[in-house]
Amino acid sequence: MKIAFVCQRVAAWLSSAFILMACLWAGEFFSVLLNHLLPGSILGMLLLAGLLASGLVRLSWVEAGAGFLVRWMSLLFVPVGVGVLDHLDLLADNLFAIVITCIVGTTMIMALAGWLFQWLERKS
Amino acid sequence: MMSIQALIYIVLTVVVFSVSHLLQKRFKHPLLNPVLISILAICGMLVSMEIPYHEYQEGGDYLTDLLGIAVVALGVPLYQQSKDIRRELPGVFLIITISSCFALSNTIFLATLAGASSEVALSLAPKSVTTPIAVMITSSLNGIPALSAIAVIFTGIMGAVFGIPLLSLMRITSPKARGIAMGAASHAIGTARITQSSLQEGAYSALALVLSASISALLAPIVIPTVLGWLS
Repeated sequence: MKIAFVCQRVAAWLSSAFILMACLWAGEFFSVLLNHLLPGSILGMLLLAGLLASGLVRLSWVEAGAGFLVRWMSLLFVPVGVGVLDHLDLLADNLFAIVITCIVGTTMIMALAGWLFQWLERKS
Repeated sequence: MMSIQALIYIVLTVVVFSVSHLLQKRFKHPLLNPVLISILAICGMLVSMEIPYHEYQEGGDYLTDLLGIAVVALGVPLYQQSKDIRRELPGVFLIITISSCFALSNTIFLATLAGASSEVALSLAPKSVTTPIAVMITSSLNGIPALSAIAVIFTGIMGAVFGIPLLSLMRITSPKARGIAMGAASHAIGTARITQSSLQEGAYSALALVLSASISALLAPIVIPTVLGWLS
């Protein structure tokens, strides 16, 4: 009973890992074909959604790994952020412009996209 | 094979992140965003112990490599919402096109207002799209890719930290609109944050992330030079 459960979990993880990797590789391949117009990971995301929608891949095959990755995705941005240490001079030279655009600009974009969509949604 | 040193930095990153995550759960303050706190803590450790960044990067790169698979995994919430999304796709497409044009031009305008040179302004312009696309846009226009990468990360963290309270403050209450706004403004870092609070918001955020990345990549070579032309 317990062994069957463990085997099932392991199989769920292996199949998620396999499908996610395969989608990423296929995405990278299409990205090269498209002259890097979109990164492979984004094409892989669309491919996975498409495969799930078409029924070729079942949700239960990818759920375990995908759910875990989506929940912990934030962690993966930490090393990228620490990379700022490598460019402290660029950061210092342009600090004011960066701070203004990131705080004021991001708020404005968020407001525009959110209000427009909400308005459209209520209209229809 | 992974070196011991790389493994130590991976474990360090995971431990620091888990502690920050627990801190946020305990105190629930938006400034205690785990990504922000972890980056600051690790930067502090590296600087105070005089460890060069490239040494940390050896381990960090393994985590960064996983990012590709994590982005692919966002296909699952996207699929789970696909029934709704299919119906609303034209509207979403229209709004992301408007917001992408606005994001590119508004950023150049604000940066110029803040005294940036045109080279810096154009490097900051794609800050609301995901890193690989932003870097690609900037290098194709002869900007400074490293500066774009920094701006992208700051923008993402800004969205992850203040995005959710800001959306509520701006009375954006519809879950779909909240997702769209987050994805359009704060790309994958914002999407990772909002997915934790609601899978539906996360799916719309992932959709906005995909669309704004592709639309910006197509429009940037036209919009950025045009806006810079107006300002000069």
